[in-house]
Amino acid sequence: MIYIHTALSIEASPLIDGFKLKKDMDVNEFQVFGNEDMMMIISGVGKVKSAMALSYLFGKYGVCEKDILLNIGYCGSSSDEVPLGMLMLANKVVDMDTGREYFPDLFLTGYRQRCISCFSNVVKRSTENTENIFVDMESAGVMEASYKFLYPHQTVIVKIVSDYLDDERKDVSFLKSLMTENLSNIEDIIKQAKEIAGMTKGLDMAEEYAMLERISENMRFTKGMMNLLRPNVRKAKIKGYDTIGILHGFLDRKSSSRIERKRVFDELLKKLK
Amino acid sequence: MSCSKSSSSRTIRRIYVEEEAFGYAITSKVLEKYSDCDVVKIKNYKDVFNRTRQNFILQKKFPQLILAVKKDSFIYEGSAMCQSFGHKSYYYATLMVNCIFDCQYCFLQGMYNSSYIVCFVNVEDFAKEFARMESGSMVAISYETDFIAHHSIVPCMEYIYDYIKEAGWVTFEIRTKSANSLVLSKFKPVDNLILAYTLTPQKIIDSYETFTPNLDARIKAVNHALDMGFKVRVCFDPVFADEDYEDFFYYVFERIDGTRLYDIGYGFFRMPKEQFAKVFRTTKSVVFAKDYVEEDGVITYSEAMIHEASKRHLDIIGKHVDKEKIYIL
Repeated sequence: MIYIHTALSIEASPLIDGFKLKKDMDVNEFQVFGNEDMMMIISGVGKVKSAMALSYLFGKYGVCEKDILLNIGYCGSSSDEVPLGMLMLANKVVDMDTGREYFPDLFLTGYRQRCISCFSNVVKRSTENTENIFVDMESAGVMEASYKFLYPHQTVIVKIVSDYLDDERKDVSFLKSLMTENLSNIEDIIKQAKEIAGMTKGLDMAEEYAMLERISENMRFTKGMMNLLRPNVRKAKIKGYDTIGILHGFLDRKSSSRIERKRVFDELLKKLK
Repeated sequence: MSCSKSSSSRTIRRIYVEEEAFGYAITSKVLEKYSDCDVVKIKNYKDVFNRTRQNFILQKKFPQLILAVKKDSFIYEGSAMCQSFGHKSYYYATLMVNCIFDCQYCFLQGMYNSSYIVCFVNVEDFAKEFARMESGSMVAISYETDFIAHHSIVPCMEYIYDYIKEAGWVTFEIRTKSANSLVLSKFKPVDNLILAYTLTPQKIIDSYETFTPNLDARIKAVNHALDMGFKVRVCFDPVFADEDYEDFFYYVFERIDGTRLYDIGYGFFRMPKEQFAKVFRTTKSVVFAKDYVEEDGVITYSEAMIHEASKRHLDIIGKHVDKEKIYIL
């Protein structure tokens, strides 16, 4: 699943159109949009709301190693030498309230990588007091949730420069255009992030462990027996044995006595070794 | 016995630098060399290195470098699972942590949360500890890394070498699988430094190691180091008792004159139980699916297997190297 987090509807709207996302009418707590492989949540402004929204999303839909999370949003820059609409990825996020630093494992290529300073309040250029020149209000909350639920390589903080920390009010259509113009970049970022998350595929033991549970229910294996069987099933799979075939032969076995249970346990263990 | 493997496809793209580390010579040199790298300033290397839920395997594919300042614990007492090579006390120092090579059986696999390479740039502080050590001690200074293999990334050797020479009463070991002999040309042999080359059958290299040089290249490196006048230790460690090693030992000693070697290290695969379990949870490697036993919290081969295999192996090694020069663990 591709999870996308935005703070504002104005950030989300071009993505909803671009990725053809439909609103999930069953969710009332937040605005959630999705399609077959993408789920987007609009949290509202601020790190607390962001962390809360993502915890809600992950709790409701679950996360696995192949999933990725993108925080996509606008950021301010203290330097007007940076063009509006410039897209960057965060290689470091600093929570300016606590000083805590967060580090996504960023393995993507082809994009500028910068530090993002996350503030709780709107930052004006005159009051901005940091050497980091890119500012937002959500990234620290996103990273806090990410550290809890995901591996650091699964999260990508995508920021698009929308202002220079000044009072100049930007037109809605102008802001949307900054996002729309970056849609192909965002698609590429998603593609890269998915490829990288896909590289981590470990040994898939789900089927074997489910079969083992069924055998255990029938045979009434003890916890100790199961603690011995699980690693041996894994070892057998690493060695290249037909673990599914071996376990299949035990699926319909039932134990009528303790002796029978021990006999079947020994038989299964022997086949796995 | 060929099949060279290269690490050139993996490049360091990001360097995390502790604020304090900026003032050190190694940092300047590395940053100058990697001027096109993404440099991320950090407060404490542990904020990156010790994060929970990191993917060790993925990080091996995308190695990153961390430059940090070590605050304390510059030397550690050697583990009982390591060889002391007859020295009355054995220590190790971690000037660098983690390795550019990726050997499935290596104890580093389950050691840390991260596989990113950490280099502690305050070499002078390590040197102060070396200067305080008692005579007859041995320090493995390439213990959780491979100094020579990393030389093209972080030239630690250049910064520590003079300190090694100064602490002449302490023996230093630099262990490596690298075949990079060019590195050595920059240094003159010193009496208290031993270069320790780990040699492994090509079949094991092909099956369980990634990015390491092939056996022939390592043998060539051993001979080159000997020709240069370095004290050379050859380590057959870890040995897998269920694999064929006889032809390998013959092959090695047909190409290396055993009488020129300073000594030999020989030991079977072993790993602390907890560390083994940690790696086993994520690995697909056959190394962790072999039939081992647990002895005093250590996963290794059964005594019978070790006895049987070591007898065969040591018969061959003993024909080429004086028996008193062979250290067995």
